[in-house]
Amino acid sequence: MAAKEFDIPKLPTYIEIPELNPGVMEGEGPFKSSEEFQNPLGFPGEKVDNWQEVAIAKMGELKSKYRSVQVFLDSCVKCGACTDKCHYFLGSSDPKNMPVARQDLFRSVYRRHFTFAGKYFPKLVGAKELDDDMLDDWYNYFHQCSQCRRCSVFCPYGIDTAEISMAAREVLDTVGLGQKYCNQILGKALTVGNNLGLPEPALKDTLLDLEEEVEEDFEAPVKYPLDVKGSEILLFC
Amino acid sequence: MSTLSIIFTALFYISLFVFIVGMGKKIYQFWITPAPLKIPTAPTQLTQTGVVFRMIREVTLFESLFRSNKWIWLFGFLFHFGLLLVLVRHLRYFIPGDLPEIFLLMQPFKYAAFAMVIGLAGLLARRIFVPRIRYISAPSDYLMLLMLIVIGVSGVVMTFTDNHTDVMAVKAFASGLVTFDWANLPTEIHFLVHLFLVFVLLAVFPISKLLHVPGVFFSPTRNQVDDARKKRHISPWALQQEKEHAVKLEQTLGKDE
Repeated sequence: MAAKEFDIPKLPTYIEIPELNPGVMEGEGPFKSSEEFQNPLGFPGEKVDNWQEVAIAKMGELKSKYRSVQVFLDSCVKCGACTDKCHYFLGSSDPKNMPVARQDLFRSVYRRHFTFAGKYFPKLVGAKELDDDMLDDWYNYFHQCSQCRRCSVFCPYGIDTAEISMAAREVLDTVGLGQKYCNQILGKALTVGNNLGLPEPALKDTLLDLEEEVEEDFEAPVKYPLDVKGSEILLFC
Repeated sequence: MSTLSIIFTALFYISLFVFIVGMGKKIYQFWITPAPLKIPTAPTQLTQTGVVFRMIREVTLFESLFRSNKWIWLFGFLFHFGLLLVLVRHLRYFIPGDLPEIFLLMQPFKYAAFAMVIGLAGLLARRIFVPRIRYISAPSDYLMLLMLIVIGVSGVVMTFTDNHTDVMAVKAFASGLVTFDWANLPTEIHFLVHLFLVFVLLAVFPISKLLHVPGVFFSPTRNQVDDARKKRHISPWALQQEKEHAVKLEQTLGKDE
């Protein structure tokens, strides 16, 4: 019997790099988290009034707590090695999805507020103010990074966009711009006890049902202990 | 001493001071900032020796860059390696008196200046003609390359054309800077430009992207051993946070027997 023929696309040694299409991925970004989910995590429910101050202070805090952030912000030479490595860029052709350009949304603000060159010669070194447009770009583009760290493998200094985008998202959370999907789940895990938001009685009931069904089908008295100390299997949801 | 020589002598010490203090501060900052997470990137090294060799390959061969982009690697390598040889050869100006014989072997290093300038020209061409790289370039990125090109070309002009400068006078000036026995310097314009731009380069080193030089050694994705499963890795602030969290849990849930 002849083997079935498949039409498999060839993967060339050098991938096709799309031409730049600035702004094609511009937008509002993912849904924003509401007060209900922000507050249990210690984040404000909506954009705070003095958000610029809060954001800059948070940036300063993060770069003093994470060597990665500090070193990566200072070390980039804009060589362009990472520009064709991000699947978000290859798939969308939006230049702000090139790892270095994504980082630069954060780095340009860092330069403006934390470096000599950026404070006194902002135009020369491409330092920018953190204004509303920039914050919108942060929210939009830092959520278009899956933090896969492919760019870091190829960077001559190992600069990792994931570290920068995580820092940026933390700053966004701190000024009240959380992302709904993540923060809702985190909030539920924290307040209810599991990521699905199942209340304890409901979860207990589900497990009891499961025990009965398993016993019926397999005639084995399997137990699903919930919050029992000394259990052999520990499962976090 | 001529006024010009006094100005250049002063500029040397000022730029050197800025360089040393600036780099010292920056390296100290990198040093004291904790790295709370183990984040080495593939191919990760499982031992400290492995990490050392990885770092050596990274800074001598630009391994990651080679994987990434052959053109940038070629031009970058030509520039950096050329610059290294040229710098080594420049030592002769700073060592007072007769030179050890080893310096005869360094004589051909002068041709490395061409590698350096070709590499820089290639990098500049990429910055101008590749739209992706043009998009991410700030004026300072072009200026930095232009400055290095002018330094390289002015050096080539002095070494390989008839516009020589008085190297013995250069040596008297440069070794005088080291021994605090100051001398006049030659006044050819290409020599003065060469020297002035080197001072500028020294001074902007700690406040520019040239920080990639210390940065690569501190990069957590390159300098960490991948042993998070064997040994606990935790930073002081994370440990503190963990303790506070344990206290909070105890208060809300009661003490664990």
